Amino acid sequence: MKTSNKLRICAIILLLVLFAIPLFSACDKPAIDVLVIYNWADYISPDALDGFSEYYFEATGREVQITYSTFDTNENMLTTLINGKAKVDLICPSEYAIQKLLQNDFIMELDFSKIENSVNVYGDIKDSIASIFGGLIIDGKSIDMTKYFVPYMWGTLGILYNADVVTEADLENGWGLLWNEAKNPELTGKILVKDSIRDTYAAAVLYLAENDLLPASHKDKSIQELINTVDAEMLAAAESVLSAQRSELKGYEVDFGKDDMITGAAYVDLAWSGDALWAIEEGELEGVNLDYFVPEIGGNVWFDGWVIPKNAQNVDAALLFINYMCLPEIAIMNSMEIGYTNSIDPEILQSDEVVLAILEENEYDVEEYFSDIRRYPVVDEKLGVMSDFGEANELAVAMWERVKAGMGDSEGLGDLAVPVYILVGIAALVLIFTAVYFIVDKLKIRPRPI
Amino acid sequence: MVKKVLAKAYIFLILALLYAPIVLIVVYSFSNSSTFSFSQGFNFDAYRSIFTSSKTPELLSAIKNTLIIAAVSAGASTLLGSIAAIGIFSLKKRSRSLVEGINQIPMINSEIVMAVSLMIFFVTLDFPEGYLRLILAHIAFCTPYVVLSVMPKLTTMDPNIYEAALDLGASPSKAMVKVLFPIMAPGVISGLLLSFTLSMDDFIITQINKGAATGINTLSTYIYADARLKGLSPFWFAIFTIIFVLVFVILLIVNVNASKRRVKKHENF
Repeated sequence: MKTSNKLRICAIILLLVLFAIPLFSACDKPAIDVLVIYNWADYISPDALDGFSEYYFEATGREVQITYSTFDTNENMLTTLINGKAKVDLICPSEYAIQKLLQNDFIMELDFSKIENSVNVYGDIKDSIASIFGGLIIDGKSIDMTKYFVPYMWGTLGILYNADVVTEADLENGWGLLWNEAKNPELTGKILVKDSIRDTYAAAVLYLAENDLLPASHKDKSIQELINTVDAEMLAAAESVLSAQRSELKGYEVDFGKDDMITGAAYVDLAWSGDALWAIEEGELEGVNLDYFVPEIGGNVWFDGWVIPKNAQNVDAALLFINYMCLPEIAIMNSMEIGYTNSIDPEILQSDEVVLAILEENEYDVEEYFSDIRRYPVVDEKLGVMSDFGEANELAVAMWERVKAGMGDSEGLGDLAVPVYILVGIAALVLIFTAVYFIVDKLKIRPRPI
Repeated sequence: MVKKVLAKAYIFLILALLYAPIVLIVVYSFSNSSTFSFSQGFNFDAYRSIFTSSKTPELLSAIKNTLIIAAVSAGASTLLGSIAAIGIFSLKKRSRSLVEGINQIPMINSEIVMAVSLMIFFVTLDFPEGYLRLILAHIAFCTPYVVLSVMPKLTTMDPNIYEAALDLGASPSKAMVKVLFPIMAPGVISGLLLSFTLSMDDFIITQINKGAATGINTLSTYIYADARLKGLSPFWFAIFTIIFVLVFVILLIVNVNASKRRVKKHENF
């Protein structure tokens, strides 16, 4: 009895210690400031990140330690923050995710007097953002979303193509290239589109506009209005063209489209400008001639921006970090690392000596870099910003699932339908027989006394 | 004769299907490219870039986190599971089969359900993010496997041995240490190894419970994040190759030792 009591006490102490160790180590935080950044993976220059502690020390006279955390999709980030109640100081989501965070009352209005460098942000980008997010209606109140974030990177949605295979005639079809409108036999089965409803929907709507297939009530809308129109009519029209597209496609990709383009497994890919520029440079090294364009009719311009959640522990450090990100030389360092276009005014970048030195170091011709319309497109009414689908999101996702499942056309499982059903039937029968066998077996044993 | 050839061919076909992907990874680990091409020829740059790439600090911290979490949660769940197995073993028949059934549920249950319920649990009770959550979560899903690997050792044990120890004057605790533990040992060790590898491999539960505030990543969640922008960094192929070779060597050593022991046993008798 004694020994078992002792054992019990030992076990309890052991368990307590086991659970206490991590708790203690969690409390044992250093006395310096901590800044928790939650950003896309691979979306910042490590050198720029390292440089912040020096900048912070100069500005405040205090040490800062950065905890850098990453996410892979906006949806994942939203779940972690809103359902997982994670406590971070700074987030960098896409425009529509910022809108969602705002609608969930999750982010705070920024104190722009502490982000002096935000004047460096490209005016054209600011304007096109304000045109749609300037007067959001949330809970009956009009809210200016531009007061809640500072843009970080931006770009367009367009088409990455293999210039050796795709001909002039193909390109003339604009978004129709994704539908192989010119019936180039080499492209059939070599076209990729993103497995992402927002991007494919934009492409489908623009294709409808090109071919004058828009539902009558939407004919006179601007590009921005068009890609933000998500109603039953437009969804039905988009569904029919997206389903018709299937026969030309290689498939729906998430991350490996660029690799397929470089290896020649695909010739056309719906891509974002930053990814496309990276693929083009990588393709040059491999001897593949890739190019990128936004069709004549127009397209979608997107951006990511810094926001501060309401439960942030260190708002001042977060504001200072945004300010640091808006420095021209830091912005260009980030662009060099990740290939996307930063939100700083190209005029300001070009007049900054350090920026020019960095560009030279990376073997870019300054004039070429800034005049490349793939990197710096003209932001006018042809490029529209896309807001969150809102309540229509479920309908849009359901439409996209139907398209992917191939229910839009009559093919379905195609020739395989009959064998697949037979197999499913056999599997079900086997399951039922096993279940019956076990039940009968159990019933047999029970009456026997032990 | 034909039968023999067919049997051999079948075995080789299965082996080829199993190992061809791994062989490909090993081959591409010498190409230093993320696009499966040998444009830069055959080189060891991918291996070098494990230590020199700009992502090295993140990669090494992911490896460190993976090992710490796997070691701690494997240790803790082995302890918990072994003790639980002894307890379950000494229960009465009816309650024992009930508890054994309950023990099966987490294993059969879909991992995503477990992951989300753990997340809700941690958020509701406001556990600090980071190691604590991940280690507790990993202990939770590893422990049933330890119980499962220890139980057979106990059920196949001759119950008279333990009683004989008691009859010969050993106290229950001494009998446990001297008799029960050695019999359980192989099951405990295989449970430890099993939970270590399960914890290392886990993605879904880790991804959903890692939170954001500490920036913690394990190998599996880091590779998922890294593939997003520029495809997989070439060093991943090098890492996969190293992992494969390590596991292969360990298996080889274990098996050679085991067969040696078997030979020795035969000589002794």
